[in-house]
Amino acid sequence: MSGRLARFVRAARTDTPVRGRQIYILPTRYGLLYGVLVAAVFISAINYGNNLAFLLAFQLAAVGHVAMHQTWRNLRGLRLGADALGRVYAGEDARFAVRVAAADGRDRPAVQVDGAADRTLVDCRGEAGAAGVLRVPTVCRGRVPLGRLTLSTRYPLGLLRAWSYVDTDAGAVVYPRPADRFDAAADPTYAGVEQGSLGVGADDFVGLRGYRPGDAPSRLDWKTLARERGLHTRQFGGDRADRLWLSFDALEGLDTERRLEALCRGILDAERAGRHYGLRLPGEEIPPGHGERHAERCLTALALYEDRRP
Amino acid sequence: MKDALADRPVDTAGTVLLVAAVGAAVAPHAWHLPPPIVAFFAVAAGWRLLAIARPALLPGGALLALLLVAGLAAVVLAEGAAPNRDSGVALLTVMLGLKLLEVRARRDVYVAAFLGWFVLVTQFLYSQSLALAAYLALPFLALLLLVTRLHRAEEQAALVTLVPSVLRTSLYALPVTIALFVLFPRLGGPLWGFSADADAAVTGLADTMSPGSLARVVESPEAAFRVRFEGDPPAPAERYWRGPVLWETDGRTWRTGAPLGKAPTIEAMGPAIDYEVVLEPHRRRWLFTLDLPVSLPQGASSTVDHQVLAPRDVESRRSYRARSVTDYRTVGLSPDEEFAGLQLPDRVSPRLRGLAERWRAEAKDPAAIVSRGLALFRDEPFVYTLRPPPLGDDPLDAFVFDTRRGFCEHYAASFVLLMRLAGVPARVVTGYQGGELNAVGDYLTVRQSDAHAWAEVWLRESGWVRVDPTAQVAPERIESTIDQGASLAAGRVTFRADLPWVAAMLRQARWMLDAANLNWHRWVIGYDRERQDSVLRQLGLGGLSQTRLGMLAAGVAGALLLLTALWLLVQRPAPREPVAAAYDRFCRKLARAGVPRAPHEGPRDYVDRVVAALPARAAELRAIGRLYEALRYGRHAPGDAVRQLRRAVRRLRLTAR
Repeated sequence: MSGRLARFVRAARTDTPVRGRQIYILPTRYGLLYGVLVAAVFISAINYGNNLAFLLAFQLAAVGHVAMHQTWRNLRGLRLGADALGRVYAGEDARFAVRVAAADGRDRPAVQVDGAADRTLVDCRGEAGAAGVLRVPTVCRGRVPLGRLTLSTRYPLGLLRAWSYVDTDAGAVVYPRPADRFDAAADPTYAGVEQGSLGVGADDFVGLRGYRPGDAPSRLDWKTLARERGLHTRQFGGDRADRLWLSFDALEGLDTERRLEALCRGILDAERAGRHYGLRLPGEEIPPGHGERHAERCLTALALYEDRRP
Repeated sequence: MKDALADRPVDTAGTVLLVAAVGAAVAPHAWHLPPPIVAFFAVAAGWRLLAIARPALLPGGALLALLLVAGLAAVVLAEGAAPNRDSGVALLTVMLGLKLLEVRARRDVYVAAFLGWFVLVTQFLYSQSLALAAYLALPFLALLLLVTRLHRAEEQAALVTLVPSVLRTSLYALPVTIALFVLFPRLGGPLWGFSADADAAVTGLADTMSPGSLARVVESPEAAFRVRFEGDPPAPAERYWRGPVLWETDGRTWRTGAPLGKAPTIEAMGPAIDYEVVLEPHRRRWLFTLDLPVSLPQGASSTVDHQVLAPRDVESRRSYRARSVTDYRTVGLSPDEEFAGLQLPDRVSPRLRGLAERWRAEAKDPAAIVSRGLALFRDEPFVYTLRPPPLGDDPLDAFVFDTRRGFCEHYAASFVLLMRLAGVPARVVTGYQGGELNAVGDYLTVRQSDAHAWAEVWLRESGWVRVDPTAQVAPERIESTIDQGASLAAGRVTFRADLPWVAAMLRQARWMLDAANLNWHRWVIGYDRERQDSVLRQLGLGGLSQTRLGMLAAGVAGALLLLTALWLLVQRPAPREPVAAAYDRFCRKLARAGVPRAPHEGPRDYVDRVVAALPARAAELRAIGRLYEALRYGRHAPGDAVRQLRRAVRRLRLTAR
């Protein structure tokens, strides 16, 4: 649907029940064929003056009509929610979890959710509803909105299709495609920072020292206390771990996107190697750290780089 | 937007159901389609079933094309190339068989199912019996089930779980169907088309009569027609159903040969009887009426001898209303009638001629001649039998003087001939006499075994008078029905007397079946323009034009559809857990009383606040709060706590604020 036309379409929002006015309904190809069937039976009935054929024609027509209401009702009051799933790098498919549930808790069989490029079909049961996955192909890094989805159903007979547009606000952040390798040598700041153990880390046991008020109880060495050698605090090192800075500016000779791809690879490598790393982008600096959330913060910064620039 | 389901393959259950439903829809055609066509379909259906396990067995495009050519050739060879009903049905059957072989994805099922539904119509062209319709409801619903099943996301939605939803859909559709059926304007004749095929033999009266012809009709137990009387039925001896009247004879065979002219006026001497007849098709034009008809069925005409004729041969069951008088007198005799009523065969034996001359000489008026004629059959040793001996060249002479064993046609024919010889105008009337009253449906069934022939003579004072010589020989024939099974076994005519209880029960069952059949005809098959008019008159909608009726049908159907839609659309919340429902009701009542529950409030806080607001009802409110807490959060709620809670909430009466 072209963007200009889309403004006139009545669309529902996520997590609000679809209202009757937002539902469109038209016969499918089989619905039209069914119409031809009913007409053929009806004409035979008139031609032969055959009352049973009349009955059949009327019953088929009435069944078709009841089906129309059932189709419409199958969509009304449905609620759709969507969330991005997992990491996605440019060129991969972004995955979205799509939840469909009926406001009144009634079963809604055969509900189809169509995205721009993918579709999923679920039987929605009870208040729990049902969930499916929609994929959105990506080309480049940045924010990818799930956008407008089409919620549709052909239940019960497939003769009619009722559909409704749902504007979602879900979006996925697409990270740059990781480069094949991150050439550490090219980056002078990519080096272990050897600064000795300050005994303030958290990873490696270094030794004991006398208790000072304020030390965390979890750091107390209860064994020495039990041996009546006084209260001691255990000391951990680990701040000696490699700390490295991944810097945009250090990657000379590459264009912006290549640099971001290289940095993406660097982040993933550093994360896998268990190193502490920080990220320096022009105008933004993320201090060293590590862990899932740190990595995602860095990757997001890469993904949205320059979006923030004026 | 593409259908995510259309391309999915049909699973085993779906294929089996499709083949079974379509097969069941086609099955009754086995009786009227040529064997090659039936075999073609059966092979295709079997092939499709075999291919479930091995999809590779399904024929490809080239083989399908070859099969199509073979099927078409079979149709042309069996039915000829001319389009008619039978060849159309054969073609449809062949196409359906081929379509079954094409079914792979769900999309293919639609076309097959739609063709299957259309096959049902073709069944109705051959028979509209109640039994067939009841049977065909099964494939109808099975196809609906099949199509419903196509639109579930689950691959293997169990068939049984879908049955209620399919039945519900059909049921919701039923009021609309009935309204349309009752109100939709019926046209008189076909738009175009194939006439019903006239090859099957139908038992019934013919327009000629010769010795033995009626006895053959009597051997059939089939119903000829059924009659419902407006008031009391006439006495058995009055139940003469008039059919073809025969004037012309060559001494052996009697033919109609009715003279031209207008029917003489009938003067009623007794009350008129109104009735409605449901006539089985007999492929002739005449309509049977009680002797004599004074008011004709719609569209029918009457001949000079009071025979009632339909505009066309009766090819399907037909119902009509008529009015008759059993006590009457006709006025006048045209010269043509007199001439035809005195016609004699070329050769008449001297014995017969002599007998008639003697009567004529001895009797002082025609009425006395008639009495002499009847007395002959009464006093001489005549025997009433279904199996009379062969009669030779001059059958009537041999019958009257030698064998003296005969069936009603012998008596009627010889009596009429004797009357003519004696100078009294006479004619043979064939038709039915009697009928069995069906106590279940309160109507009369007249069977082929009630076929009868009698005589009419013209007398100056009373016009054409019915005379039944058979009554002189076997008066029981007129008063009761021939016991057909016993008669055939014995070769003699026996009559029904009291039945043993088993037979009485069987008769009751037969009556019920017969009554169901009649109502089926009255209200479904035979629901035509005439009956529609009478139904509409009863509804106070008489005299509507066809156009207005069409608009009314559309309007009523539309209104009913709207009602169905409303019924479907009213939000019926899923049944709630009773404790939650009771608490909701409690909260609603309090909200009306001006103390709505805040969204964050738990039951205890809420009850505290409510008690503070309505101190007078503290005890009641606290009791409800305690019960709810115990049921919702407590470990051991008393067994009838749910009931107590619901009752307490129900009895809580608060004044709205």
